[in-house]
Order: sequence, then structure tokens, then C-alpha cells
Amino acid sequence: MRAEYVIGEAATNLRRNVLLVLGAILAVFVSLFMTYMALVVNEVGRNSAARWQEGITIIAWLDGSDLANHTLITNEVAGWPEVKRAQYVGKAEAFEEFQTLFESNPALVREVDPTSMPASVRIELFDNETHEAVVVRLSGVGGVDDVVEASDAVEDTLEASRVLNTAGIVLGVALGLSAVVMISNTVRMAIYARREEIGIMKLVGASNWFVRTPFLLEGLVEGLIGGGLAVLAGWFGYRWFISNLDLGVIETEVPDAFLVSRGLVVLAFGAVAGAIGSLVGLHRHLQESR
Amino acid sequence: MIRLQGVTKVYDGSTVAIRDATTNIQKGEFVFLVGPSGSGKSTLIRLLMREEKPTAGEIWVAGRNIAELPDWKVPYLRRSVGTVFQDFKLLPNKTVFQNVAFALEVIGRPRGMVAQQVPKVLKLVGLSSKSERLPRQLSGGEQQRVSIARAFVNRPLILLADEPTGNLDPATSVGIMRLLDRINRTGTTVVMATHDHAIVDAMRRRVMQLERGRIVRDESRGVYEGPARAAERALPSAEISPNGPTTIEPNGQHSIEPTPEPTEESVTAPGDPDEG
Repeated sequence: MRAEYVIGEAATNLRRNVLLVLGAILAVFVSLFMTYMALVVNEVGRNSAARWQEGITIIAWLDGSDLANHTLITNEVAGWPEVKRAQYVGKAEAFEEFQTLFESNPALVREVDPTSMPASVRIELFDNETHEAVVVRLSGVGGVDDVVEASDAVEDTLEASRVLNTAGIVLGVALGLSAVVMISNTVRMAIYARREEIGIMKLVGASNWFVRTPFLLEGLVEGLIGGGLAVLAGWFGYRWFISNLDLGVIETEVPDAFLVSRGLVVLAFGAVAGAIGSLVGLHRHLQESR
Repeated sequence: MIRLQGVTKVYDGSTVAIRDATTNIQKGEFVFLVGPSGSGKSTLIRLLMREEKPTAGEIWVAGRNIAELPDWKVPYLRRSVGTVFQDFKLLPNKTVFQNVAFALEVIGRPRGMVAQQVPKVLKLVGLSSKSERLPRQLSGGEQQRVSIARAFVNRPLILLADEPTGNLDPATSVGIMRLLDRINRTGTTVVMATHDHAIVDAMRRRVMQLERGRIVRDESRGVYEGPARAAERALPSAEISPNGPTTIEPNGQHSIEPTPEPTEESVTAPGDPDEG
């Protein structure tokens, strides 16, 4: 009877103020969508940055596992006048790096054979203008399987991801606050619409939580719906984005496990925003005797 | 049942609504609070239901000092204190039955109990045949009966009534008073604030008179205006508040003849049952 009552009352509140409720849900949705996207962009940036960091602009993937041969190649490349630094990354290190990149997807990490990870030489140039010549020369070296290079796009995207990340977090927080305010407003309106009833409930001795719970549930539902929509929109939006846009060397793939775990975090934020919003809305109206 | 010890209530730091009130109300008593508007009657009622906290002093209700009661326990106090107001405070979109049942539902009483208690109390107030009506389909007196039923359905120890007949004509008021008297006879302590001379004079119950926040008169079988009238009737005027000076008015003028004291053999409302 109790649960039935609480759910019934919350449903009535939601129905009575459709526009306000939609506004609150929308506010939660927009703010959490921003936050979710910021998290995803951050992850994409983190993945890329793991490889393309500290000025490394070219990676030469090497054949086989002959360490002596690999050292030879590395030393040769390091001796070229354009090359500032050549760093050898062996199979074991490559696997470690892989583990870091996909730490949010342990299933994938378990599937991969550590010995199948290719060794590579990471190259930093004195002057990036010389990269074309270096790539051509690298392709001619025996034992080099493939050469990939960071284009300006990499730098730009990393920079963009940093900006987006910051902007996303700032906007997410600002909009999150507005979502809390919107929810507290709808709860306030719902309380106002039922002030007579609440007055009588308190008169006959309904406990504070009995009076509050339906409004708390109302806020919670608004927060969860908004958060759920944000996760869905984020998920499908991201999938559309990576299947329709080619960013070349940027690793845009983010494992599903990451999307799911961060999605749950976003949902939890929605619920918390809803609960805080309704508590704020409830605060003054349900105060006891002066 | 109720004990006030040096109770003072000051609003906004300057307006004194109740000044050093000390009194004692026994279980089963029927007490009228009389006095002009602004004398503190309603404040006293609000203090007794912990709608307000006293600025100073102790208010003991059913063995507890409610001035010290934490907020979260207030609902439990309210369950043993029924309240009735001048404006009925019924929910317009609920039927008579639902209005009364509401009081039990919101304190989590099981459905079976609601189904059993509500018809009982509606029978007591004489509204069994109108349980499916909405408040607006009832007369003022009937609406007040519903509100009394709601206040009483949980069998409170104390019934507080603030001007319950304030919106009703004299004939209807008599019916309401008969009902409150009946509830009082079940052992419920009744405290009623009123302006109605006729009712107070007719009932001859304990009368506590307030003036500018002070209890200035307290008589066990009093009338509305001062003890002189009581003396006239050769009835003992007892229990004068130790704090309030006794006001002796040479002549308590009464233009209204008191209606006969409602007794058991008085006309009963249709469907009026035996006392439960």
C-alpha cells in the first residue's frame, strides 16, 4: 500500500505539470549529454595521446621478433641527421601499452597474445617539415613493416579534444546546476499545487518522509529520464560519429565497456541531481514549527 | 493531560501572543478558551499542536514536553491530538469517506482498519448516508461533522477545536456542540477556542478567558463573560489561575438566552448511533 501510494502520488505530480517536468528533464538531458560526451572525447584523446606524445611524429612498426635486428634498425634510424630521437618499443612494452589503452576492456586484453604485439621504433624529428623524406627512407629499410605518421590533424585533434574536454566539463557543471534548479522548481510547483493536501497530511500526523517521498521520487524520475536520454543520445551519437567521420590516424574507437561504465556514472549523476533538486524544492515548504 | 508552565510566545521579537501562561487540564475535561480576537486563543491552540514553539516555558501534552520535542517526532504527537478548524479544511476532490480515510491512510494504517473505522466514525457524526458525497454537496454543518470525524477517527487523546462553529448558524452550531460533547464523554479531552457566548453559557464547562495573551480567568463551570454571572447562578467558581488576576465584573451582561444544555435525550441527528 505504501509503495503503491508513493508511486501513485509521484505519477500524479508528473502528470499535473507536464511542461515543467519536460523542462526539467531537458535540462538534465542537455547537461548530462555534454558531460558524457566530454568523458568520451577525453577517452579518445587519452588513447591517442598514449602513442602520440612527447613530440613523437612517426612510428615504424617492425617485422619479427629478432631483438638484435631491431636494435640495429633503431640505431640506424637514430643516426639519421633529421632524427632527434628514436625510441625502441619492444613487444613486451607494446603489450603493456596495449593494456593501458584498453584497460577499460579487460576481455579484449585477455584475448590478445602478448607475442602478437609488433615492436616499433618511435621517432621524433628535429624539424617536422622533413617528415615526408624520413617516411620514404624508413619504408626502404629492411625489417620495417609499416610506417604511420602523426599529421597536423593529430595535433589539432588532440588540442581540440583538450578544449572540448574543458568546455564540456564547464558546461556540464553549469547546466547540471540549472538542472537541479529546474527540478527543484517543478517539485516546488507540485508542492504548491498540493499544499492543501500536504497541510492536512501534516495536521493528522503523516510522517515527514511520508510527505516527502513522492516528491523525492518525482525528482529522481526526472533525473533518471534525463540521464537515460543523455546516455542513449551519447551512445548513438558517438557511434554515428565514428562510422561517418574518418579522422585518419586518430584512434576513435572507445570500447563498449567504457561507454557502459561511464553511462552508468552519468545515470547516477542524473539521479543525484534529481534527488538534490527535490530536496532543495522540499526544504522550505515542509519545514516544521517555528 | 495538558500542563502549561510559564508559557510565553513572542512573534518577531516584539508581539507577545501568550504571556506567562500556567494551567493544567485533566484527562476528559472540556475547556473553552474565550477572549477577544488577538487575545491569544488561536496561538494557544497552535502551541498545543506544535504548529508553533513557545518562546519560553513548558507545554506538557500526554506526558511529554512538546516544547522540546524534536521536529521529526511532531507527526507522532499529532496522531494523539485531533484538530478541527473554522474552515473545515476538507479536500474538495475527495468524498466524505475518502476525506476521513485519508487521516488513517497517511499515517500508514492498514486497509482493513480504514474500512472498519471510517464507517464507524461516520455513523457517530451522523453522516453514514452521505459518505459518497463531495464536500461541496454538503451543508456547512455537515462539512464540519466530516472534519470532526477526521479528527476523531484515530481516537486521539485530545481534540483541539479553533472556532469550530465560527462559520455556522446557531442551530447548526448546537448540533456540532452536541457532537463534541459526545466525543468528550468518550474520555477525549476537548479544548475549544470560541467567540460564541450562547454555546459557552449553555454548556457550562470549564472556561479559560484570555486577554492580551494572559489567562485572566479560569472557572470550572463558567460562562462567557466573567465570574459574576456564574456567581449569580450560585455555582462555585473555582480554579483561578495563579498568574492571571481575577477580573470581577459586577454585571456580566447577556442578551442571548443560553440554549438548553445538550443532554443525551436531546434531539438526535438522523442515523445518530449509540455511543461507541
